[in-house]
Amino acid sequence: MKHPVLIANRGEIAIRIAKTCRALGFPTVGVYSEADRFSEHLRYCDRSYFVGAAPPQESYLNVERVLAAAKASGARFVHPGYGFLSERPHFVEACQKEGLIFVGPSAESMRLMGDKIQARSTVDRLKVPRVPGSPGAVQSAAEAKRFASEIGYPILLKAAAGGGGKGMRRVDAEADLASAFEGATREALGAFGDGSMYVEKLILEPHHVEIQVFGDGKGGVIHLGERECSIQRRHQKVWEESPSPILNQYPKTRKAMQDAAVKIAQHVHYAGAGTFEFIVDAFGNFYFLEMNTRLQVEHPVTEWVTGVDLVAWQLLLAEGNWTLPPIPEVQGSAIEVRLYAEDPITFLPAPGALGKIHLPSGAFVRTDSAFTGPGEVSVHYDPMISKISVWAPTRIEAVARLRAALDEACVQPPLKADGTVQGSLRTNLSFLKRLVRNEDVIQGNTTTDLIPKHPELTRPSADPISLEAALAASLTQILRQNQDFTPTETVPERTWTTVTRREGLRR
Amino acid sequence: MSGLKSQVGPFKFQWKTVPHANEGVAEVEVEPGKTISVAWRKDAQGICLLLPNGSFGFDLQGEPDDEGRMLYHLTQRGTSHEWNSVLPIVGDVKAQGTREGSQNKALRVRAQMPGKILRVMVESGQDIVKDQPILVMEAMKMENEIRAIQSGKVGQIKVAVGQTVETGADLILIQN
Repeated sequence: MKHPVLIANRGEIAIRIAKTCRALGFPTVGVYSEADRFSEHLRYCDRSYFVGAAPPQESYLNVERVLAAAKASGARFVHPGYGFLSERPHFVEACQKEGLIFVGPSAESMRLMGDKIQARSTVDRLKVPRVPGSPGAVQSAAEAKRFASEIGYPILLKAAAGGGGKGMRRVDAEADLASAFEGATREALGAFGDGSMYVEKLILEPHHVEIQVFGDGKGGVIHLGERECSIQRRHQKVWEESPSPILNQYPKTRKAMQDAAVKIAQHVHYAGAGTFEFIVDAFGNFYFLEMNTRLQVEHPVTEWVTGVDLVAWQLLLAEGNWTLPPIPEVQGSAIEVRLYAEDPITFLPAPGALGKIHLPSGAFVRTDSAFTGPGEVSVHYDPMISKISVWAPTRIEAVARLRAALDEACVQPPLKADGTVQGSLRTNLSFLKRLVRNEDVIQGNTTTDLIPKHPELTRPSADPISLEAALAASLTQILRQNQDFTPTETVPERTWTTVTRREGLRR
Repeated sequence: MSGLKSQVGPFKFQWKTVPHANEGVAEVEVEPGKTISVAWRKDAQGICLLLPNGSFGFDLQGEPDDEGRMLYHLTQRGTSHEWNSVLPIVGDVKAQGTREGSQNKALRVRAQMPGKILRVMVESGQDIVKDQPILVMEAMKMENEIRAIQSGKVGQIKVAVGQTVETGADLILIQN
């Protein structure tokens, strides 16, 4: 009899974790906020507990309420997923105090590696190269200016407590530093409650490559290959793949990075899944960036090429009496893209009501999503709609498979009876379809500045209209003007409206 | 009336039978001397067509422009094809006017998402160039710089610093 696992998360990652729990026979406990009463992830959990209002601080980030749910449910394990409480050492300690097993690293190794400034001194001691920068957090623009003139422009200002591009600014010249510092600090304060910054040199033509490791907590660590996540917008990943195209050119760099990652993880007696992020330049030099002490969003890429269920390993390790398997062989090529509710041109978040969703399927196509039909991409949380990943024996075949998969996908906001859009949902699907057709992407020339280098990726399509499309538009307009058609399906309303009505009918 | 005219971009159609209802078949002249049969079925998100050269599905989203004409965003299902601002003109083409009429109107810069105005960097009456930052808005915990979508003169500023706005709210008007 397995002990229950509380999944302290929501959305696609809660579903992904629950699926493995169920496959392994662990009972599952879900948590939900007010905004998630009808969310898909609850249907993957045996029982669910309400943890508070929609804002994360009130619910998914509220340690007391999440732990109360765990205690009430009789859960033995707490899986944090990614984001939310996944990288908070005080949460790990709070779990221990309650007699719960946190599925992840110890609070101590989380502190050592999760804090960027602490991690850098650990990494320096182990002689792993990293990007030149300020040794500690800087508190003022003047201090930042001093370091910047030492290492030379362009530089990057990064929030010490940050992640996901929040509190980050590129500065090309001294004149811009003061205002960039002010903006980044304010953003970091708002997002993480900590405005300290560090300064580092900006590497030009960089590739973002990360090494997946898995440790047994007793000093045993293996790597599971790499993921290249160079293609980013707004400093957030949108395309991730393994193996890395740049490391295919520099196999020695790959080996050195794997050795470095394993060495650091061994040093901190790392337990569970962790990721070391590196910058690799055009010449195969690599620099340590940071460690993520959790399961990554893009972990399916590693699962495709290694055949390992990373969540299963995490759970089995947490349960005890588990031996670290040998290093799995990397086979074939896998690519993941992130389908977001965002404007395909400005990449600004555009959440809202969802009218129709069809995600691709088929041979070697995987989708990780929390949406199956009409619903709502909440403004309160990350606006990711789905991860779409594919595997193929070679990279070129994987790109082709992804192209076909993306063409199959469809996400639309609901329409009112008059055919106009209801709500504000937009998606980056059209951008992803252009991205997968980009020559540099197909060739594997994946640098972090790929998107700004190709303005055609973020330009609305200006294809001449086809005869078929013209007929479709004409017909739709004629039928609309005649007003003699009724919508074939009722327009989805906001969930609460429907529910209240249903409740009213029941009485 | 026998038949109906419609036009989309370079295509001029002469409908021999006027389409009505959610499902049906119509004969349409797609170019002089070439008449085809079009079968259609409307659904909640768009329309499916069966044409002599195959079956096609489209998602259509309508958005009325300032003059109340419906512009469509079309996505061809299962492909990468999409078209923006498609204006189908039905009936007498001249009576519908042309798109140039809207060129001299003020352009609205609208909020793309709910958020809070942190800074307004322009003043009413100021000349601005395309892509010039005009205000900073906090949304989804990020500071987002809103830039001018075209060059012109700043008209009315509809928001104040500290104000919370909803999606679609007018922020600033830009005059040509």
